[in-house]
Amino acid sequence: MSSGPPIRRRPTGPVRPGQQPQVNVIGRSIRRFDGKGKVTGETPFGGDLAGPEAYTALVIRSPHPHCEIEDVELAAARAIPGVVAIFTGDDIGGTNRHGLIRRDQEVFSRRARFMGDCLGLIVAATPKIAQRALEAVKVSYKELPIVATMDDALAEGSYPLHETGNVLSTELIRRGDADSALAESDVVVNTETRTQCVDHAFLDREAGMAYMEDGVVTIYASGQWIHEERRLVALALGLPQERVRIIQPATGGAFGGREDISIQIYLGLAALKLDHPVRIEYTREESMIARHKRHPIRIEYTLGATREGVLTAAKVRILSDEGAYASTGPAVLRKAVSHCTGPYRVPNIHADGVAVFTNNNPTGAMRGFGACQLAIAYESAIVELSRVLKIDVVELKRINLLDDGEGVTTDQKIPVVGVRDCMEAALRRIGWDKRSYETPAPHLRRGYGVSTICFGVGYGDGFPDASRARVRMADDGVVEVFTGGVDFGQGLHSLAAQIAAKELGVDPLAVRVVASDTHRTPESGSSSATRQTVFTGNAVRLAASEVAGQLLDVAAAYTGLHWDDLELRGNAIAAKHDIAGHEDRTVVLPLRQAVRLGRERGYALDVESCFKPRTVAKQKGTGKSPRAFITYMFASHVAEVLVDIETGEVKVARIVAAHDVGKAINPQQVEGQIEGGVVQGLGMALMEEVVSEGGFMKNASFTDYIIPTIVDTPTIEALVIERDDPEGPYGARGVGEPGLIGTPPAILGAIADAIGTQVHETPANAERVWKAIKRSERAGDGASA
Amino acid sequence: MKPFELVNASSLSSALGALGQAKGAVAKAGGVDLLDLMKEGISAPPRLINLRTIAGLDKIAAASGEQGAVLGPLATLAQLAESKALAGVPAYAALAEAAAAAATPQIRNMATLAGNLCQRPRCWYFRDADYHCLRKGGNKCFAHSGDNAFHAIFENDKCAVVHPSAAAVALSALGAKLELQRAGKDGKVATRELAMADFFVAPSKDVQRENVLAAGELISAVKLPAPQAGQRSAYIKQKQKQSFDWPLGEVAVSLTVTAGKIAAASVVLGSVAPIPWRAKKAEAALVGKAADEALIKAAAEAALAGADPLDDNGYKVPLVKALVRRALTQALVSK
Ligand SMILES: Cc1cc2nc3c(=O)[nH]c(=O)nc-3n(C[C@H](O)[C@H](O)[C@H](O)COP(=O)(O)OP(=O)(O)OC[C@H]3O[C@@H](n4cnc5c(N)ncnc54)[C@H](O)[C@@H]3O)c2cc1C
Repeated sequence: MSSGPPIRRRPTGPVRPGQQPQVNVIGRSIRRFDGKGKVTGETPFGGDLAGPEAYTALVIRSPHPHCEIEDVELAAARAIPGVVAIFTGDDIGGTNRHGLIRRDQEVFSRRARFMGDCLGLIVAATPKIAQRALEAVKVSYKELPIVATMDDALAEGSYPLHETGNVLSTELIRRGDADSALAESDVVVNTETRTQCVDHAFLDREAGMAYMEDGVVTIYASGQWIHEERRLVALALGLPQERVRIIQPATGGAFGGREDISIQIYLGLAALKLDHPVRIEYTREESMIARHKRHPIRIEYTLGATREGVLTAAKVRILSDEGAYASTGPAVLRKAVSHCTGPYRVPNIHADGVAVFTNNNPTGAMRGFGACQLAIAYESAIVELSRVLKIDVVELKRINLLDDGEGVTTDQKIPVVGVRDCMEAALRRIGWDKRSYETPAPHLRRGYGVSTICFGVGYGDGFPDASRARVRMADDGVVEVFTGGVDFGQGLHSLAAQIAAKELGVDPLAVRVVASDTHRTPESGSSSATRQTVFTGNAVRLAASEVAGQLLDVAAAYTGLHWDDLELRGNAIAAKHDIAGHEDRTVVLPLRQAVRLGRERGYALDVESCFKPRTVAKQKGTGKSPRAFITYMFASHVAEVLVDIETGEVKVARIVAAHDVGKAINPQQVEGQIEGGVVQGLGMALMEEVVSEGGFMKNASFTDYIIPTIVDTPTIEALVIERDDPEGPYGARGVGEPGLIGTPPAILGAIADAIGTQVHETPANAERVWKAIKRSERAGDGASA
Repeated sequence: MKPFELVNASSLSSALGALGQAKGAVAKAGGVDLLDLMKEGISAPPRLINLRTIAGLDKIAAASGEQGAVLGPLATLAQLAESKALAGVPAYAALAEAAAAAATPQIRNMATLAGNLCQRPRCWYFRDADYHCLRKGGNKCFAHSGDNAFHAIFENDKCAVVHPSAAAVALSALGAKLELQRAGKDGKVATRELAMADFFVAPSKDVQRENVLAAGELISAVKLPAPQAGQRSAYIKQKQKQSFDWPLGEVAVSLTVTAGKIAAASVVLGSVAPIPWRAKKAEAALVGKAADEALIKAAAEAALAGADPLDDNGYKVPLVKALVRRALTQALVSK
């Protein structure tokens, strides 16, 4: 190699590219690049974007939960000076429909099926004028019978909400012979669990703007899957997709609540028709009334076991309130049914799920997606079984939790089952064997609950689920990552930067992330289903590693070294180790120079990759699948509570949450997700509940819909367990949803431990806990004052 | 919200004058409740007279000698909660505790004493413009057939709202008096003084109002009786969650203990009736006795005797019993 090309020796001076030791970028809590702007308030959100010239649009909503619209009288409103236009169904060019699974919701409804249905769109010069116009609109309508509850929906002769009737979908699992196995079981327990309707309660209300640019409807609005939202907008408006561009601004929370279309079509229509910038910003009340919610689910659970505590069979009936439209309901029902036995070894399963329409808010995606309601149900059955068998709950779990390679509900065999590791770690942390039941006052009882849960990652069930990502070296040597995936606070974009930085040996904070713009970024699928770390993470990794390969080729050709002796580190390409003829590891080719050389030699250094693992659709008749989901997450929470047995009030003192995330790419982000999930789960367990009366929502405000604040938040200890996932990037598996799923059953279990009886309805508010205490006193067991 | 005119008052007398002149003018203190009602379309006053621009109306004068504490109507809940003249005096502690437990820190910084006393009920039918309920001039109480978990268990046959004011519960237990002023015809200020019990209006008397304030009349001061030797008070509130929430039930008590016996007692329940609910039977059960656990239990039973819950709020009965027991216990152990 003596006559090789000139090789730059160790440079002097403060900047020493290539010289830092190869620090591990993966597994480090790298600062979020969007953090400072959000903390200081500099970052604009959807409501901050429109300039003063923008018109304001306001939605005319249904006056009644179920009615035939006879007439919407607009003349008086149109006559108000400053009212620019009022649009109705006659003005919309496309299908006038939307919906994620079924296109069953009209943009402008002629028949309203819930209070959020839209009858028209007012566009005015200012918000005040729009409000006055709204007050001047008169709607005449014919009331239709209200289907208020699931029982109403199933009642004989109930008024059909859709052409197909009031049953949206059904699901089942058939494994083995549950009936015979139950008949032969030594013990059988029955529980009935009722979960409530929950709101996402994200702080950043639906708000955004749109304008026309070169004939393209350009919409700034926060969703969860901008490319799908573009498809839906194009469909409803009757435009080719290329004429719709969606850009996601900074977003304050989503939790599934931005999966359905919200303001995108309204914004697009107004901008298109008026060729003028227009803005929409919902009030909190409107946000709560218009948005879909978490499904209230009723679960009848029968669980059998041997005297020794070995589970034999489960029979599960699931009834789910879909509200007015399908939303993602069929997928939620499938997730509920396919997770109905959680992380337990249950050889015989007979499960049926039915989803029915009512005139309540449509129910759809929310963190946990059906699996969280079922976790409450199966954990309640386990607690009941432990009581009847007089086997400690933890022992019962130890007997029945799945091991590596065993099958979940759908009989999919899971190679790495970390649930035992999680549970044992959480128990150790809380000090399970030495736990104390002492309390500061005689009317207080202490209790401990343990949950063990699982969650299938991604859409699964054969749905074509893919993420694309593009990684490019800019001429200035900066690494650019393009992803259509949206970041609503969970940190996806920082994660993408971190992965590209790892592959290309640069500082993660120096990576330029171009994101969430349908005209500039490739489709990365939905930021939901706990899928983006695995899906977009893998896509970025594939693209970045291919660019890295090209750079190594360039450097190899340039230096005459074998590419295998080179690596990317510290903004340069450097020798991995001492090489004969090159005495030290200082051989470097700065990245910027490598990019220039590469471009000269025809390397694009610009790669788009796709991660598209396959899953297998459920088998007809059994609901089983050898690969319903690409991978499963496992977690275990331990909750410690104090219950006031005179008032029923519950205080959560401490929660330990252990999650097998495969690999924590950014531990701080992982812990943040777990902690946030715990707080949201605490809200579901103890206080949150959308109250609807005959289709009218009674608590559409944060005064009456209460969510936990920091004052209600206990000590949370997040334990990160890392058992590599075979398919995740660097072994990572994701983390978004399980933090919520594990919380309610742990808290409910702790309440049961404290008062000696279970509360079977969420939220377990003071009144329900008090009533459970009184019921068990009457029955002659449990705590007494 | 309808447009309105805002007048910044410079003195109490000019505020009274402005209120007396213009029909429909309404006083604005912190504006927390007023603006809420206006935004929700429940009320639409054409003119607001802003009292917050009047200097000195937020003064808290400590008790001295025979003279009890005198509270300015514009004192905020935060001021009441932190005032040494209240929190530091066992006889007055209930008021400081009630103020500290209400709403959120931000709201307590805005909300005033008089505004708190005069705020309108939180019933979700009353607060929804779509329900033309009895209290808004309609002919039906929707809570009777609707969701009434948060409604009254006493005097609920006509309109089942609960009175929303925490300060009212505490002041009733302390035996406070309200000084009311209005501009008289002669241009002079007319002053009257009312006991708390005479200020609030039960639905049986008038279902559309919560108090006897005449048009243009203002609360100009709240006067507490001088603390008695051996007097202590306490306030307890139960919420759905630990932080910032309306009460499910609340109780204020004041006890005067001399020579080991309860010489005077008042027990007032909140969030259980359309007015602050004086539990006279409980008071009678306590007076003249030495306090012990059995007595406290008996008083709590007596306090809730006669409660007549609706379909969804039966839980308030045992809940408030427990609160009465705790409030009495807390008052007895406080020094
Ligand atoms: C989320 C939330 C939680 C809350 N929780 C609680 C709680 O737990 N407990 C509780 O007690 N309250 C609670 N509140 C209510 C709050 O304390 C009241 O709205 C507030 O005290 C009203 O005071 P203000 O000074 O803002 O009154 P304003 O809104 O200004 O006025 C209210 C009424 O009082 C009248 N008024 C004002 N000053 C005078 C005067 N000097 N003389 C005569 N009339 C007058 C006004 O004309 C108006 O009719 C809560 C409110 C919110 C929003």
